[in-house]
Amino acid sequence: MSSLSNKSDKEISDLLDDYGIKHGPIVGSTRGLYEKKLREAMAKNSKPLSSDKTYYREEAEEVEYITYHAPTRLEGYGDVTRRTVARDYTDHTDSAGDHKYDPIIRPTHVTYQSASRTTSAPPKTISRKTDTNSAKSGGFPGWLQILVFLVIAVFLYYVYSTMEPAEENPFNEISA
Amino acid sequence: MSTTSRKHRDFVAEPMGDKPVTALSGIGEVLGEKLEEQGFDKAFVVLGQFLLLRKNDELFTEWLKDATGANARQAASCSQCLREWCDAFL
Repeated sequence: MSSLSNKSDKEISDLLDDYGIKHGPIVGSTRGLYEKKLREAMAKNSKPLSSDKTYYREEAEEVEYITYHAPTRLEGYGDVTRRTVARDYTDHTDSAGDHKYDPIIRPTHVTYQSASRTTSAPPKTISRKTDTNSAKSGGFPGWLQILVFLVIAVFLYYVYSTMEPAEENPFNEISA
Repeated sequence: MSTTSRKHRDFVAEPMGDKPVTALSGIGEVLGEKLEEQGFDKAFVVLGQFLLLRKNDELFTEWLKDATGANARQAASCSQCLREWCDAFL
């Protein structure tokens, strides 16, 4: 942990990426803050999640988004616009970092396409953690839609089944 | 932070020019002095830090709290003030 202060700015930047902490340039006035963030993140979970890293392959014409779930540990980062800025910005700071920002600005339908096509292991392992995120970034998760549908269906059936006796009873009383 | 102070409105209303750090909402005499000790002698220098932190409220408030000992309300107020200024003038 104390070795953080000996690391180069580039290493700090890579570590922040590994821990999924969104960050700007590591310079004199920001480095202290980022070191603190890293120490907090390291205290929380002992090793960085390598599965959080983004990698994607070029195929035919479209880029496949496989996994990116850095924002799980930070709230309020879900918006797309900031990431768009991030890509331009990191060109100056860390040349290796810019490709990591790329997939975020892809429209979400790409995510769904690739999710159905790729081997299901990577998306499934992290889908639980990021349900709130995917809901935020457009479209509800499938299980939620089904759940809502089921709830509505059950409710309607319940209303229907409770209505019938109510309609029948008055007639029974009148006929009786 | 639903309501904004007069200081906030004044700051967000116009370009910051050469205003001192104490013009920022949430930054009073004490915090202003601490910022100046660290070289943040003008509001625009603080804006620079805000921009370096990618206009991220969470990072900025945390930095401000660490750097000056500001409380959460002061830091949030300053952050909101800078963010709205950026929205208007950047």
